[in-house]
Amino acid sequence: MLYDQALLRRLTEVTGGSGDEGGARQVLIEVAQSLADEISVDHLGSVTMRKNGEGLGRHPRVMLSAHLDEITLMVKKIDSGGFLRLAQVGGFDPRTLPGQEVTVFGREPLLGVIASKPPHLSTPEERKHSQPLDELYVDLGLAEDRVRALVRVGDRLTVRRNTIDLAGGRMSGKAMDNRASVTALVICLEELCRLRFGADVYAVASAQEEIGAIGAMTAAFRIKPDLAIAIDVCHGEMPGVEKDRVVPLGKGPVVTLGPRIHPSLYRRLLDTAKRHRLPYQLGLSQGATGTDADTLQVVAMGIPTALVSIPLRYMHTSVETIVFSDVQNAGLLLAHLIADLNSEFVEGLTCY
Amino acid sequence: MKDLIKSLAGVSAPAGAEQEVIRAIRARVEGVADEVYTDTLGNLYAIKKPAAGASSSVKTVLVAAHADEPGVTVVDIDDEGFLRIAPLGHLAAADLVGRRVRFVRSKILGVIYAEGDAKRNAVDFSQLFVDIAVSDQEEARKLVQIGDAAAFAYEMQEVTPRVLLGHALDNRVACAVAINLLASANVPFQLVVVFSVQQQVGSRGIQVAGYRINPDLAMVLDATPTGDTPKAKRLNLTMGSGVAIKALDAGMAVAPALVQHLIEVAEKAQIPYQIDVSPEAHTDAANLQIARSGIPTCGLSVPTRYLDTPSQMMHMDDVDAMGKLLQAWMASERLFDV
Repeated sequence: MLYDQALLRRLTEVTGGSGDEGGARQVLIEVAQSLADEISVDHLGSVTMRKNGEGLGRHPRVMLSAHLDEITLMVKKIDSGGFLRLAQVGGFDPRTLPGQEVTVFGREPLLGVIASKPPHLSTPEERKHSQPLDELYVDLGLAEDRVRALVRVGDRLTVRRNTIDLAGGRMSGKAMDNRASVTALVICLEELCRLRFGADVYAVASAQEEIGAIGAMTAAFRIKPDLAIAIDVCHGEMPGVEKDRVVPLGKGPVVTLGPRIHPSLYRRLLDTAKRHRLPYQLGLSQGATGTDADTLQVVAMGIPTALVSIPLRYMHTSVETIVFSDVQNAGLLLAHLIADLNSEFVEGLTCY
Repeated sequence: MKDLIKSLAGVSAPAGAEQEVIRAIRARVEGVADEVYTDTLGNLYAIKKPAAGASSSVKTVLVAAHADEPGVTVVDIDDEGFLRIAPLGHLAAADLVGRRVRFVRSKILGVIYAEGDAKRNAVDFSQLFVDIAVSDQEEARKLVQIGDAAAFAYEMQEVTPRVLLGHALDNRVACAVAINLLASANVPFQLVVVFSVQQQVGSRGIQVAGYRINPDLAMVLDATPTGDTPKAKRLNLTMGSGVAIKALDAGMAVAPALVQHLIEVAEKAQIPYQIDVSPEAHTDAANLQIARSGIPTCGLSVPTRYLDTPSQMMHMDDVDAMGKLLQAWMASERLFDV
C-alpha cells in the first residue's frame, strides 16, 4: 500500500480550517493526481476526485464524502497590549486550550501561546472552573504596534502540534478529525486502481463540515449521486465514558444505522465487510449523526446515504487519537462496496 | 439618503408580514430597475440588465438586503382584552416592556407590558401582554385576531445630524443602500437586488431567492453588533469607524479571498472599513451560500448599537461607507476572478 501513516501525518500537520481548507487541499490534490481521472475544486472549497467506472450505458454514481476541514480559531479582537481575543471556527474544547502553543496566520505565520492564569494567582473558586473561550487570549510576545502591523481581525490560528506515533499503531495529533477519513478516501481510490468497477466514483473531500456540513450538501447538488457515503470519525472507547456511547479502537470502522441512514445501503456495507473478511463494528444513531450524512440525505430529491466512521479518542482536542488499521479498513470497505455494486441494487434503493 | 431611510425605517414589517415595506420599496425601484417582481414567499426582486451589447455568457451578481424586522404575534386574547404574544425573531422579552407596537393588519397601536409580579431582568414571554386599550375580549376581537403580527412603532430620529436612531434601521438602511445602488448602477453584468423576507425567522426568503437566481457571486447587506458600549461583549467593531466587512458570523466563514478582495478595494478607494467577526450574528449570507451547488457569498454590514431593540443606533459615515464600498466592489476588475 502506497498511502500509509506518512500521508495521514502529512495531512494532519498542515492547516485547513473550515472555509479556509487550502493547506490540506494542496496536499490532497498532489497525492490524488495519480489516482483520479479528474480533480476539481468548487465554490465552497470541496475537492472532488472522480474515478470513472468501466462499461457501456449509464453508470451508477457513488459519492463518498469525507470532510477536509479541521476546527480552528479566529482572531476576534486585538486588545490593548496586543493580546488576541478568539472566536471558534468549529468548536475547540476551550478547557483544552490554556497553555497551548498556537500559530497565528497573520501577514506571516506567528508563534504564540494561549495564556493561562497561574494557580498561585487564582482564587480557590477560579481553580474549580475552566475558563470559557471569551476569557482566553493569545500572547505573541510582540509589542502592540507590531501585533497590529502583522495581525488583523479575521486571521486564523490553530494549535501547533506534530502528530506522534503511540504504541500499537496508534497515532495522535490535531485534525485526525477528519484527515483520518480523507486518508481512507485516498486508500479507497488506490484500491480501486486494482479493482474492476462499473460505477462512477466521486470522492469528495468536503469543505466546511464543522460549520454546518455545507460543502457536502452543495457538492451533492452538483454531482447528483445515486447513493452517498459519509466518512467521519466517531467517539472511541476511553476511561470515564459509558461503554454504550463509544466503540473500541482497532476493531474496524463503524457502520451506522439510524433514521438518517438508508437501511439497504447499511446492510450492503455489512455484507461487503463480511464477504471480504474486513473487520467492522456497529453504530446506532437516534437522529442527527453530526456528520455530512445529515445534509446529504436531504439534498435535492433525497439521496440514499450511509455513514462509515473511524473510532477516535479525545475529539476536538489537539491529541485526537486513532488506530491506523481502522483507517485502512475503512478505505478497503468503501472500495469493495463500490466494486461489488450493480445497477439492480442501486435502482432498488428507492423501493421500500 | 436620510429621507429614504426615514421613509422605510418607520414602517412596521415583522417577519412573515412584510407587505407594507415591500410595497414601499417596490414603489422606489420600479422606475430604476428593468424588471421587478415578487415570489411565493414575498421576496422582491429588482433586476438591472447589463448594458446593450453584453455577451450572452453574462454573469449575475445578487445583492441581498432583508426587509423584515423582528416582531411579535398574538397567541391568545384574555377575558379583559389583553393580548398574549410570542416572538417572531430575535427579541428578548425584557427589552419589550413598555414598548409600542403596531399591528400590521389593523394598523392599531398597542403597548407591551409585563405582569405585575414579573421580575424585570428575568421576564419571559408568558408574562408579557399587549394593551390595546379595549375593555373586554369581544371588543379586542374586533381589532385583532390570533396570529396577527406586530412590530415596533417608532419613527426614525436623529440623535445628531450624523447618528440615526430607529426600530428597524436593521435592515432598512441596507435596503436604502440597495435602492440607491439600483438607481446608479451601470454594470456589465446582470444585477439582481433581492429585498428578502423572513430573515428574522431563519433566512427563509433568501434561501429560495438564491435557488431561483443562482448567481455567480453574492453580497449580503445587513447590520451587525458593535463592542463599543460599556461592558459590551468582546467584539471588534465600533460605531462610526467604517463599514464592517464580514469574516465570520454564527452561520458562516467567508472565503478568505473574498474578504481580502473587499479589503483591497476599500483601501484603494480610501473607504473606512472594519473586519467583522461576530460569532453570534445571523445574516442571510449563510443560507444564500448553500443554494444549489454553492454560491460565493460575502457580506457588508453597518455596525449597529442596540440591535433588536427599538433604539438601534447607526452612524451615517458607516452607511455612506457601505454604499461606496459596494459601488467600488462592483466596479473592481477582479470581481469574478477572486
